[in-house]
Amino acid sequence: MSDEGTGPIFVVDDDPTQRMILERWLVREGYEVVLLESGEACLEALSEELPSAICLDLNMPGFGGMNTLEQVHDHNPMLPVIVLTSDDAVDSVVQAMRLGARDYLTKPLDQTKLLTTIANAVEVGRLAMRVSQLEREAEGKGYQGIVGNSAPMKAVFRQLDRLCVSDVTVLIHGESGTGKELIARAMHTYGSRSRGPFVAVNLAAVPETLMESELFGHEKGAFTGAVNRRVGRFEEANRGTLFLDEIGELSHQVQVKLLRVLQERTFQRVGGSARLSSDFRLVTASHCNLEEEVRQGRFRQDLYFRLAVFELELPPLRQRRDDIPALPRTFIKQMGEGRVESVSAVALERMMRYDWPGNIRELQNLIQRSVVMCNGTEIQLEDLPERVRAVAKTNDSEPAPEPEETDDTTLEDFSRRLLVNALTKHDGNASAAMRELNIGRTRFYRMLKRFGLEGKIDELRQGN
Amino acid sequence: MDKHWRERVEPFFEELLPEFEENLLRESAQLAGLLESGALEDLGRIAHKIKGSAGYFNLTELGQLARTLEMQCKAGDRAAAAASIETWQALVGKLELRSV
Repeated sequence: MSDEGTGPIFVVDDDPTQRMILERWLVREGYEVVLLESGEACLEALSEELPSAICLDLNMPGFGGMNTLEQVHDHNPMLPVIVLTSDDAVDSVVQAMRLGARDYLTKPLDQTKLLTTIANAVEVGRLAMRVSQLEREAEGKGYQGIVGNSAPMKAVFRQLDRLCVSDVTVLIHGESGTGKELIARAMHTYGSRSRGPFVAVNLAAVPETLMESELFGHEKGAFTGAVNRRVGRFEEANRGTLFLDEIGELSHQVQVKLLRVLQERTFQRVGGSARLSSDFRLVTASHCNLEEEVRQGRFRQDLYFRLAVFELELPPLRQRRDDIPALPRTFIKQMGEGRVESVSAVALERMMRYDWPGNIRELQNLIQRSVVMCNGTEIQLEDLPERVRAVAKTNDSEPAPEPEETDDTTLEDFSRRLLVNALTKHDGNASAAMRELNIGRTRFYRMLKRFGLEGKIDELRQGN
Repeated sequence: MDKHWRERVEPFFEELLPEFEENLLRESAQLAGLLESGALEDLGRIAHKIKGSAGYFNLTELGQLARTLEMQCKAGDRAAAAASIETWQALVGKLELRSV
């Protein structure tokens, strides 16, 4: 998923002829297309991908088009859905529009009408998102008091705009103190699950022996000390968002169990036999390099793929120095400390030179300390700790580091290598490769296309 | 409708013919069985699908019959649906569909 680019068009229809026709028309027009046979497949694909629009047949067996539309609109209200229906199903069209459909088309479809409708829907969706971004930038603020006017933070906000209207699983990377939980909370608060709970767990703070109970809950008597039943975090997060910070801290045993929960969306409490289900959006975070952890065998590759559907990188404060002046004002306001109102220009200048290894949390702690130490209404240079006062003159914002010249310089390289290895190991057997990588069909074939590996399967099969 | 219907299909849809014919053959074979077992909803869904796709291949008569059959299934009119299915099989027979 690109920062600025549009996503694919989902075509959801149980009729293979309709799917093929739409695909041809749309691909010819330059769209990327994902074909889905059912409403259930559409909802599953939405957890892995953010489309620009959905063409949805209303008349499908099983879960059905109307139920699918309702679910899509509930979780992704800004995502345009164009319903496809027969020309005599007026009631269905009315109901669909009430459920949030953007437009409708009647079968047999007319190519020109289809392409015009799609183009309009995609553009409206894009503009709505852009307006939201501009409003935020004009007000000089981000989400939930997340301050950021610098270029790196504007890029984060643009990604956040898309993530808020989606249910995709997100993995947030960032040094300690960069605001990973704030970002996860923003995804929840500004998303469709805002009425549900936001459950945050710092996995590094949970003792190993209690990890399973923390996440899955336990039944009374499950172990010594379990005097009552306890509801775990998965259950607590039902219909909301579950944020797991420091995901790299999970033991192998719990990684396996978490993977199963993500696959099946069911789990058991410790000591329990009943299978429970929970509908939550998962956001995880890590300060360490999870790809490296996978390479070293400390983190499961298949779990990583499940977690890293979308990866969001939070810049350290030293890469966004432009944001520093606004942050002290925000923290002073939050403290509700009436006496201190501002920071002197000299103190601010020194703060902008400092590298902030603890990032925003360090800055916040410093402001809180300085407010207490300050005698007047303005924080002066002498109110700052020695390490900040003494910082030497440095350059402007540290640019983003250049990637090292290694075999796997980017996530793209790493993911490509995993895909090729899996295909090679299984002699081009796509199903076996998918099982090994633990990714769904839709995502598998999109990855093949993205890495130019569409011919790889045939090549491997012919080689045998 | 006759066995030369393929010649009237627009070039864009020609490549889709094999899949369409395969589906139509398969679904046509199911109609009588579904009616007999009382599965009018499934029967109606097949009719609905063909109604939506027949137009791409200029099979207007089949598309209209599919619409009729769909409405009959929704109304629960088994006798009328049976008659429509008989007409359907005759129409499809004229098309001389090919299986892939």
